[in-house]
Amino acid sequence: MIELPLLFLGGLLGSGHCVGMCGAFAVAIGWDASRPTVNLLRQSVYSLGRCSTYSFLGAVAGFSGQWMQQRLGALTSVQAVLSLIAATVLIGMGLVTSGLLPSSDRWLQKLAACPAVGQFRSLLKSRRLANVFVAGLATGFLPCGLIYGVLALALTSGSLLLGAAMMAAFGLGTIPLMVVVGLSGSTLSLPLRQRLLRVAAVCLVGAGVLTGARGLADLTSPSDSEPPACPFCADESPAH
Amino acid sequence: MTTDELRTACAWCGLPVGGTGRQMPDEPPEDEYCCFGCRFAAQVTQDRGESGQVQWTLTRLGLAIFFTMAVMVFTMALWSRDVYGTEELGAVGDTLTELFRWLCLIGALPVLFLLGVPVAASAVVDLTRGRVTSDLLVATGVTAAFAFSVVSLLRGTGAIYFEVPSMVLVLVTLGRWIEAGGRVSTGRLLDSLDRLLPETARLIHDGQETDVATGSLKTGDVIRVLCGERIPADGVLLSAESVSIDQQILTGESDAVLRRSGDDVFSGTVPLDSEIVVRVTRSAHQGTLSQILDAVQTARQQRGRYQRLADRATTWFVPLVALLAIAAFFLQGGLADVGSGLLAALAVTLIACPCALGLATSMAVWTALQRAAGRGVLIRSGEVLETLAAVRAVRFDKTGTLTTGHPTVDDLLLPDGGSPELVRDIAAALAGSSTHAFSRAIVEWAGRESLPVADGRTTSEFTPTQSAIGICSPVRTLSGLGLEADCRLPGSESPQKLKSPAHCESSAEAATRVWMGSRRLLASQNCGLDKSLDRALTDCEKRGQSVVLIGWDGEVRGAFMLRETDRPEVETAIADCQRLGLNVGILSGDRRFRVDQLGERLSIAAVGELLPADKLAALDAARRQFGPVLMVGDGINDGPALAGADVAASLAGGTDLSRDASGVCLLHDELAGVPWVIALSRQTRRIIRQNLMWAFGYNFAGMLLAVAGILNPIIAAGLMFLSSAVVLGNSRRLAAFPLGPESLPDARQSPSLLSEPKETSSAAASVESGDDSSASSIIDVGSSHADPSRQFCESESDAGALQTQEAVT
Repeated sequence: MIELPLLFLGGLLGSGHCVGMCGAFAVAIGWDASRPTVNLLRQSVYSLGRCSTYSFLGAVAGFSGQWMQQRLGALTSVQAVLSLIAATVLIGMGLVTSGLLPSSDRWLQKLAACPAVGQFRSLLKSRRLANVFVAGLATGFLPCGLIYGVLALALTSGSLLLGAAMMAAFGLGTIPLMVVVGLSGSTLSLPLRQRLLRVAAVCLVGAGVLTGARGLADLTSPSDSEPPACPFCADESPAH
Repeated sequence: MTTDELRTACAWCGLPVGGTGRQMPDEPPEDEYCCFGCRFAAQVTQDRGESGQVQWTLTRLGLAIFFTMAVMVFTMALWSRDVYGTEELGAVGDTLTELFRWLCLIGALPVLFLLGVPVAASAVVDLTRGRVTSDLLVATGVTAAFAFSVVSLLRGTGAIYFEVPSMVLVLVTLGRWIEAGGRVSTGRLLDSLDRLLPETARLIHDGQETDVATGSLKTGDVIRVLCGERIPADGVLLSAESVSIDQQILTGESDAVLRRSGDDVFSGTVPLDSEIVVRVTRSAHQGTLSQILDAVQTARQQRGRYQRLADRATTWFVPLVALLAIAAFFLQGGLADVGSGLLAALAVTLIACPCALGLATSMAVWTALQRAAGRGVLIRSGEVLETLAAVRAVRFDKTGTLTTGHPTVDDLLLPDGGSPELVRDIAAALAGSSTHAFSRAIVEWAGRESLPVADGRTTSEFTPTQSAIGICSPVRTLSGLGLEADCRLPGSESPQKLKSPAHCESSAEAATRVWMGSRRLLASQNCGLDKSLDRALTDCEKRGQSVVLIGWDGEVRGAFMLRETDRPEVETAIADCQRLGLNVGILSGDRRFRVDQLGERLSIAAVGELLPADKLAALDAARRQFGPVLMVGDGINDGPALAGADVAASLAGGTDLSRDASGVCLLHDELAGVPWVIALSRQTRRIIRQNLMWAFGYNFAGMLLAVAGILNPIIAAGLMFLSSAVVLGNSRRLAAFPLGPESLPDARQSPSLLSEPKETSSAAASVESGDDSSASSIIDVGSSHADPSRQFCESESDAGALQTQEAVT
């Protein structure tokens, strides 16, 4: 369970990335609020919606991991294989985030052409809290490299509850910066965002390397190893 | 068409509403939707439209998704306890299980209200309209699964399936909504129909006339519309004289109506007698355009063979599915337990959703119709499209079909001592206010001749206002003869030519009357022919060339020689038809030697001097030999032949009065559209068959699995969307159907030996076949003139020009 606060930290550090992607949404939600308190309420509801989706996705990932271990556990060390897959995803996402790997945003353009996106935009502008919440829910489903990384981790957790908790912790970690951005009504400056993004990338790659190492270790010694160390532990040094 | 053939269109996606739509006669017309998805999508948009903000509908979906996620998590928790077993935790575990079961109910209840109620309401609305839809089955299945789970929960034993109705409702709503979005996006193709109206209008402002874009016309603008030209926008007639207006495009009534000053005139209609001045009362996009859109709308609501097949299938589909679902319920209920039976029944209703089946044909036809419309090919109905795909032979009319409707001036012959500049300017001034093909040819020629290259406008049209000629009176169209106007002739340029000097000296009020047109017109006005000119004219007429004379003050001052030209794309079009495996031929009423010449040049069978009845016989023979026949004509002088063919295509021509006659209208007047539309129809048929095969196959296989109890309802709900998506995507391929090689602009005009076409022969023909009165009258009008763009005013003066030749001979 020690991962959770650290995942929270990971979310906190990685939220520079979030601000880049979803900061505009947070601004859109709050820009016409009459009072800062109203804005704060909206931002909280929006983030709550996001975290709900994250937790749900984490739960599904955890359950899937559990199910796979149960069903396929006899064949091979599922945990190890999942770890390796997660490692690949994490490292890949990290490289993409840092700009070392080219990212294809063609699917994003396709997504923008989808009529549902127009609806999403009007949800963001809505004054009703229920709509803000729904907008948060929808945001949670938006494709995001960081989310994939943590989801991969949740998959390796092999537990519904733990998976949900991991994603929730990560989501909670992203709240402060998103709320600040939503309240200040402006996105972060580009250099700052880039710096944060680089930190997030390092976090992802580091987590990937650790998860991969854990997976390899699992493969070589199939016996139940110690609960793995948090992938983000080692990453605090470059972050600070 | 009878109303029986028409179906109601969905108010959202525009596709026909399936089943037997019934509406009480006293009931106010309400929006009909073809499915729950469209109703939902319309509601979402409507909500937004009212306040500019997302309202309840979308929020409802979002909240339902949230609650469904919660239900899924609780269900997964229950499952994971099943996976681990409850032994570890003992009594605590049992309590936990019980808690999760209740939490599932609490999560599923809102979903049932948020999404289940709309689905059920939609089904009930359809039911009151006499349609049994699959929504009804889905609503029933969902309710049953939910009720069963509640009973299990209350009894404390038995399986609960709260996640199933929740997920099914979310997937059905989401899937149908997205599907409706995919369908409606096809409608954007129709925008290209804008091109139907004239692109520019002659705006009169402070006595000055300027060409402005039709789209920029505003209420209150005053515009001038030439005889035979489409009125670009709805308005009020200002001209003093009454004018007959052809309103066929609006009313289908071929007889012109008389309009007086102050009467309303409609966009898309055509003044037949004279030019008119109109004050615009509605912008261009509210008139004719919407009419054409309606034509396309009507077209897609008419059932073709495949559409009827799919319709019939959908009619017995829902009851059959209901029976199957009941059977599956008892089968699985007997084999396993009531819960499994319920799930199997629900899966059957979901997998058997006839959406894909309903879409299979209509979506493909609709997309094809719009693709064609975007290319300027108007197809009357899905039936026509299906017949086109089966066509094995094509027969072309010659005049106006294989040859252009635009004769060109070969030469201007002058009497001894004539002034070419004066004749040119006067002729251009007269011709400028007529859209007759000969007039256009003369204006075009005058523009070529008069403007020096240095001017940089050598290709632009000659504008009479630039010349020194002043026209005192409006140009009058003399029915069947030509044009007449009073002109102030510049005395300085050719004083010796004017026999009545009093007229030109007091040029402010006096004017000379000028006639332009047929030999008969000039003869009737006592304009004499110079001897050399007379000889030259006789030569021309022997060669079959058309002649337009101009004269004043008792003398013929000039003679324009005109000739007919092939359409530039004719060879490519015919080659393309042959490449499609079609038998190609020419059926013409024109003189045999001209038709033969053309046939030889194009290397296709050509028959000339055909009476209307002969054309029909030739079509019958082709049908017996090859199969269904497509007749391509110009819409008027082929009336009977077009009606006698399996499918008829007409070239609508410049100002196109006749486009309502045939199954296919080539609005842009290009022959390349003929092979193109056949290729499109074949591709459409292919895609329809694929769609139907998929829809039937998928439903059959899915239903087997569902009855066998293998298919989980959630997966079935997902597959339902997938199936529709396959059909949608496959049909959308037609929207990208290549428009074919762009036909070259008029730059390439192949020299033609053909000149003035049929006159006496077909005129005689129409007399001979006098029993076939209406048909022969059509033939008479159409075939007795060379101009295939066929405005009435044109045809009259055109006929006049031809009659000259008869009069002379």
